[in-house]
Amino acid sequence: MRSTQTLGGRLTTTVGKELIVGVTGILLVVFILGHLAGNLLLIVGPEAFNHYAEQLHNLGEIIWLARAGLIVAFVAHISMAISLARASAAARGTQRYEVEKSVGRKTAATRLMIISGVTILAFVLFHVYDFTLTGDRTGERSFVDAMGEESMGLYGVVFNSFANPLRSLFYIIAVCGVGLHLSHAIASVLSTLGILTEKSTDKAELAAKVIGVIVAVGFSSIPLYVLLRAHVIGV
Amino acid sequence: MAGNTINVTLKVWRQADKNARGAFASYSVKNISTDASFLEMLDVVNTGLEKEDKDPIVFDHDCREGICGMCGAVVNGVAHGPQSATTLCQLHMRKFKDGETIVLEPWRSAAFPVIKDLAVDRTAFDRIIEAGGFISVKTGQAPDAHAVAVPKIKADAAMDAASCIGCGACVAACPNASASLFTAAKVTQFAKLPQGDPERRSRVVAMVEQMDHEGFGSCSKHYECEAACPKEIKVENITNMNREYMRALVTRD
Ligand code: HEM
Ligand code: SF4
Ligand code: FES
Repeated sequence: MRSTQTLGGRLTTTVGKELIVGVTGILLVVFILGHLAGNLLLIVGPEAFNHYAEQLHNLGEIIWLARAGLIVAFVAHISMAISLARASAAARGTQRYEVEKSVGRKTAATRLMIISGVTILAFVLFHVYDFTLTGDRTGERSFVDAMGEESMGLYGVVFNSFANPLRSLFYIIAVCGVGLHLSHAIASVLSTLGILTEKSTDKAELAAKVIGVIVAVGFSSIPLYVLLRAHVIGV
Repeated sequence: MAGNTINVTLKVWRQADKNARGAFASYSVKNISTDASFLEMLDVVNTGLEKEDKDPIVFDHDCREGICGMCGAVVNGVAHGPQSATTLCQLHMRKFKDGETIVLEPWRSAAFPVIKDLAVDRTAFDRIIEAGGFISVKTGQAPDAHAVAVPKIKADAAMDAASCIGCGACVAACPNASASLFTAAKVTQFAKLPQGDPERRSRVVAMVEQMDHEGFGSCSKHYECEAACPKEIKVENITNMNREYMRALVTRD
């Protein structure tokens, strides 16, 4: 019996793996957009942001279900994408072209998917460690000197983190990587999942770029805002 | 017929056989008519080489009419050369400038090993076809042409897909050396027609499996294939192949 007789087997071909990367990618995009919307509350103010964080935590089991889903999607997305990228590198062969000229739609974003992807992975690992695992929302990191004696909760933790220009710079570079990744991914996934037509391709590519920019600018605005408050205009 | 002539320098990949290490060799080509086709120019070069008792440059060709799919090489970094929607045999020297250096390379991909010089082994495509690029019918009297009605849009889509000549430029141009455009064209040509319908699920799975087995890469939507294709096969066929594949995930023939 050939392996592709079963559903599991059919998911291990290149097209099967692409479909997995696509579906899990959509879940991650939904998470990112939700995460961005929530994070922007930080600019609204400490109450709004802490209230939102509190509400998330009050979800109890549901938050853990969502986290489990995220982890599964993230791991599947990355492992399948790396497996495809390795197979493609092997397929290209050892002898490179002397002259290579793009006549299609190859761009930095399409070529750098695996690089932007690995950057995001490194960032997410650091990020989860930084905020989720060690971001004690009543601990030392939650006090902002200039904001008085009171703990500022998760708002304070994030504020202190981003008051450090190096950390902020790292975040901004990472979220630009996310934006670059999405600027190709969102159009690509529509083709992978059989939705794009010849006519809608240009529109999808434009939409992907717009969302990519929104994500990069949106996430960057938070460290930039904190830097501005902490070092220029004051709290 | 007093056409113009040009001089060009050819920088050609020469490789004795599959396992040999290849290298570029330069030839200066004088007084080539701009009305000559690219392959005729190579013929002239080869005649000169043979006169000097040297190995002629090996390249594949057959019809020289742009319909058989045998010819092809990467010319200055572009599969089939600078003219879009044109096979190498249909390219003319008027597309080049006097004094230009033309770099000529074979399709490069692990699944298309070089046989000699510019000729590559494309039997991997044949095996993808053998895996599913057919319909299983008993032969016999041909049915009347109008016995099976086919909607015009579907007939057109099938016909467009069927115009793929299997040249391999899509693989050559793809950064992933993916055969998705070729395979998708062959899948679509059958999937759109009633005759191909009974085996549509097993066909797409078998052809994709063979494509992987031959060592082609996957599609990451650089769309270089579509731009290189001499028959203007659209990437929409790949989208369609994925739809067929999803159908095969949830239902059986
Ligand atoms: C600069 C903008 C960002 C800020 C301010 C931010 C802030 C945070 C905070 C405060 C948490 C912890 C939530 C909690 O413990 O309740 C968190 C978790 C997380 N963030 Fe971000 N984040 C940003 C960008 C990103 C990006 C671009 C990604 C995706 C690549 C991302 C992925 C995650 C993940 C996966 C978690 C863990 C979620 C969980 O544990 O439920 N974040 N983020
Ligand atoms: S899809 Fe186009 S480039 Fe690819 S084999 Fe067919 S005709 Fe050649
Ligand atoms: S020789 Fe037949 S297509 Fe070029």
